Amino acid sequence: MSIHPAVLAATIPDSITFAIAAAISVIGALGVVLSRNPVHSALMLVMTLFGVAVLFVEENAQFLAAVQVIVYAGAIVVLFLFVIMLLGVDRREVTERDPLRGQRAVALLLGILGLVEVILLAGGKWPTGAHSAAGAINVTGRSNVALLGDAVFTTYLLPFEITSALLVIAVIGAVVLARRPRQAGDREQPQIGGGDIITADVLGPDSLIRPEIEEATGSSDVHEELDKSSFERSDP
Amino acid sequence: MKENPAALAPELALVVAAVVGAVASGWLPRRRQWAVRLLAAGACVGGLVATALAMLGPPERVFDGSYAIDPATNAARVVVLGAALVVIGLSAEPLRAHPHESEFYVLLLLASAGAIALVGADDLLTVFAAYLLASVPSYGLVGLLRDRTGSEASLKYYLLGALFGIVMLAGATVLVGLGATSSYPGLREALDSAPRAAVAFGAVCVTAGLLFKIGGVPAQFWVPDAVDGASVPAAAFVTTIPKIGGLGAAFRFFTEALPAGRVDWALLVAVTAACTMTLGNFAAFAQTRVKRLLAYSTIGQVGYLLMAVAVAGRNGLAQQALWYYLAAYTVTNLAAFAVVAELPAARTLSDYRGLAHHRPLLAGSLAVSLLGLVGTPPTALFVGKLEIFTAVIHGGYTWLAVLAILNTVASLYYYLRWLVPAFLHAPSPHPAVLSSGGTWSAATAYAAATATVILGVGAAAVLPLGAGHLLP
Amino acid sequence: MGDPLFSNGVGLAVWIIVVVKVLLAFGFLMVSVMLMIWFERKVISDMQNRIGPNRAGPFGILQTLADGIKLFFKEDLMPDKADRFVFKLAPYLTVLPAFLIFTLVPVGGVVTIAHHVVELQVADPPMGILLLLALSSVAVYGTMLAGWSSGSKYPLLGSVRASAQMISYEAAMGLSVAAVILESHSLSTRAIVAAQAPHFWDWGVFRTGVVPFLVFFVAVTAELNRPPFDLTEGEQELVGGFHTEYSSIRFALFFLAEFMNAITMSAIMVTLFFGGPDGPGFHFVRWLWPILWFLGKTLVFLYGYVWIRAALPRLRYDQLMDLGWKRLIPLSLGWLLVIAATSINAVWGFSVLGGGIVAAGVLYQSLRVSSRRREALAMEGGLGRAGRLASHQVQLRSVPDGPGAPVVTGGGTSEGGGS
Repeated sequence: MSIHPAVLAATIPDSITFAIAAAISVIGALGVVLSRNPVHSALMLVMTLFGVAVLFVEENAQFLAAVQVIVYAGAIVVLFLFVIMLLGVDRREVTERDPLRGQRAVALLLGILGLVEVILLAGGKWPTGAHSAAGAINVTGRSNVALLGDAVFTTYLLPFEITSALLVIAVIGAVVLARRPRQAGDREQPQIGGGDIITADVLGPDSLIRPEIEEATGSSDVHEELDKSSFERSDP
Repeated sequence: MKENPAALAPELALVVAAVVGAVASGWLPRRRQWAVRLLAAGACVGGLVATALAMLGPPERVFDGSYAIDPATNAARVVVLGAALVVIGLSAEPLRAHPHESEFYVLLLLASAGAIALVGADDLLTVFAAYLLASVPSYGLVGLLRDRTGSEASLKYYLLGALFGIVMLAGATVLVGLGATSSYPGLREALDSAPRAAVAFGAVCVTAGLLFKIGGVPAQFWVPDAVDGASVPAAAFVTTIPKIGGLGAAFRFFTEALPAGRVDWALLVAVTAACTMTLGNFAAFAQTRVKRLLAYSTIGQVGYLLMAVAVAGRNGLAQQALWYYLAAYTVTNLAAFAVVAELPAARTLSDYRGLAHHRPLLAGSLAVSLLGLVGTPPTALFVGKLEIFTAVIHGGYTWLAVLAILNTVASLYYYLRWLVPAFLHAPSPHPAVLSSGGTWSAATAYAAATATVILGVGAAAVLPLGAGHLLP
Repeated sequence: MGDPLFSNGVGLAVWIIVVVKVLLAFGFLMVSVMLMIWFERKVISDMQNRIGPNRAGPFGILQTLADGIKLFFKEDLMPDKADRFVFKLAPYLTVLPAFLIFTLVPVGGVVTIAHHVVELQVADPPMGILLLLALSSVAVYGTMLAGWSSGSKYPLLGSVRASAQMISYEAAMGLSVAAVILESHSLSTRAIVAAQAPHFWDWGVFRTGVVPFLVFFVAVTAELNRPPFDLTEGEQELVGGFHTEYSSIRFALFFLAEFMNAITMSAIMVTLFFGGPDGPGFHFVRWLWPILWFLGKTLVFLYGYVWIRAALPRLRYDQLMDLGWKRLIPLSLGWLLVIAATSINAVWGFSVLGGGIVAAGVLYQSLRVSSRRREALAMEGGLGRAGRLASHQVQLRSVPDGPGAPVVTGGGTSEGGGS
């Protein structure tokens, strides 16, 4: 069943959805920058990602929208939060002194320049000569998901396969960079329960990846570590 | 549409060996990791055999036109696989029984596959995927030692790589948006009528990504730090193999994807080449650590190589010159690194005092490789430089050739700063700094130095291998 | 393609239909949560030879309502160290995905209202089942932030455990969903249901060969933190897990989300593996039968959850992680390969299956060898600090097959037995 042309054109609900999603994205993006607390920043980032996902749906790129939420909101920001929580950096940053001198002024300047550029580009079509050079993707009436699948597994098969080799590299790279070199006799029996509840249990006695956290703190007590992170946080 | 995996036999050999090695590394005891080294070397040899077979066949385009198997790709396969073999040879001792020895070879194989794919890619998306395949293992290789300098080098390398990767992807997006296709022949046709400013923007961004791979100005910052911080084998790797891929990809991108006369990319590359060689050579003057000196020297060499890219497509000479110079540079540079690997305790130029007295053969290899990098007659780079200068002058960039000659003369200074103590000065009172790393490194150094000379003497036989038209 | 409701443009009638659908789904979920809690308590009491709630309403059916009202009027406490904004936000982040996932479930067939063809499901997006994965990965946020924002250590530990658990089992869940997608050739939930008609042996559970269903069931149970995977709130260890510091209506929201999730996921399982509303119908009130079938099948799974809760003890944390990473993920990945090969032809299918079994056997054997070796290492390490330091210099080779002590060689010149 083909989509009625009336749906493809921008209707009033479309415009309303766009406005709301765009507002959510922009507010989220501002929140990421302006929040004092890293956890709040991460949450705001999730909000932006959702706004953008809605915009993708609006553009009929449903697969992209779903993947955006799964990968970015579901995995990457969760990872951010894990790091923030476990490393106990979830306290206010010292913002009185810049690590790089004059970066605020430069950032402001670049931001204004970018904004002006976007406004200029949005107003006309002089840089590209046309509003759209490629055209709509789903002209045949097939769904965007099916078209994308076709393209990935036929025209772009080779880049796709190369990307799968990248995943192998990622795994090896993680092992190389994160695994502590194991030496004979280095292994101790994991203690079930008690202080090692996370380090020993999450990773399991057979795990290849030994937690770095032990090394970093010089103690295997993660309770202590977590304690610190939750109590050192200043009051919101 | 041809989707014949056998056409990619050399690349597949590398990837399959890498996966097998990765799995095996989980079980092999530390002292028995030489099995993976053997496997990696076997994969390289197998790839070379497959390449030889592919050279006999006609050039073709596979995987829906996204990968070209033509003389350039085959030349890249030969050079990259040869370079990988040399790197494996010189890393035998420094990495023996290292906890991550197997992973080193696995990452090396994957990065080599990425470098070859960069050259063969005939499609913007494939180029970017290959860019990642060539880059990501390199970050791991540089950080393999996990000491302070290694980690810092790895992080710098990674951050710059991520930045330039994004820039490259942005450029590719613009070009795909303009051309409604990502394949090079399609782009060449479509970009002819596209607005000039947008094409230029896209092309500059894609070039920036490739410049990162080859370590050219303005993306050269990572080279000294990565080379100095990494282990010697990893340093030897990052200064050769990725550059082969990046230069081959740039050559193909400029000649095949961009319509002639739409944007003056040649001038851009020429200016970049001029800046790169000048910066590399002059920064090398002040270096006292050998690895840093070699790092800046490679930046200088990249400048010469970029000259060949600048005149790409103007005459048949450029391509032949590029591939010959790449092969020669690879062997010579690796010979220098093999000498460094053979003397693990010698870190500064003054540590090499009296090398000729202790190890005359090794000093000879060092002299051959360093003088080779300058371009002294019997060595391969002499022929290479002649070829490139001829191509550049024929291509109408005489000023560039003059600048390159001046640079060559200047570069003699810092190579001599290394050689003079090694030959003329009295041996240092602490001969321990010149203790040997092992037989393999020494053998690799001798072999690579010999190859430099043989390649130079037999240039007439080797030169035509790099020639032959790219697929239209 | 797409929802037929929107194929003629979006008018006022369509708007009203959509809003009514959303409200109906919400109301349905709320009422079923109420009944579900009562059902669970009643069934568990039965299994434990107790009576259970029997005061409020007939058979105590209004007990949940009474509890809800009580919770609503309780004092709302907030810890001093709490992050106020996130603390308030977290419960809603838990409820929302639970409800949104339900909107994807096709509850029944198709009805025609005022010349509009209406599918009996709130939304049927083309990437439907991906949205399930997306939302279940978003569900981590509620738990994680609730624990963190409480500003105290048991909730934080609970939430770290919970999020690690949810992330781990998501992979297995996604892989088993991929098996279903491979068979149904579509991501849309309605198309997935349609692909499982007309006979019961066409149901996903049979077409994908039972294994993905089992993996999905286990993974979802872990995803929901239901027993026996409820380590998140292991009372003996963590007081109450991530919601220790919550009280009053906010606590009620977590409770609501938990049961809502149980219902939603049962419905999803019915959709993916048991033909959704598929089943024999009769000539009168045609639209009703599919709904009844759907509800009936869902009820079976809900009962299954309660049963499991009453019957199985809680897992230990390392067992939980072992099950997820070392059993379920390889199993579902391997099975996905088998299904893909089978869809080419049977020969491929059986050879991949055979190869997989052989590979699994080899893997198992080598893991056994390595764990034996590790035990020997641990014995070596047990000699004390001095012994351990000494063994840094010494390369331990392997355990010989026969009886005897581990072979310890210095330097690495001689070779021990291989693995």
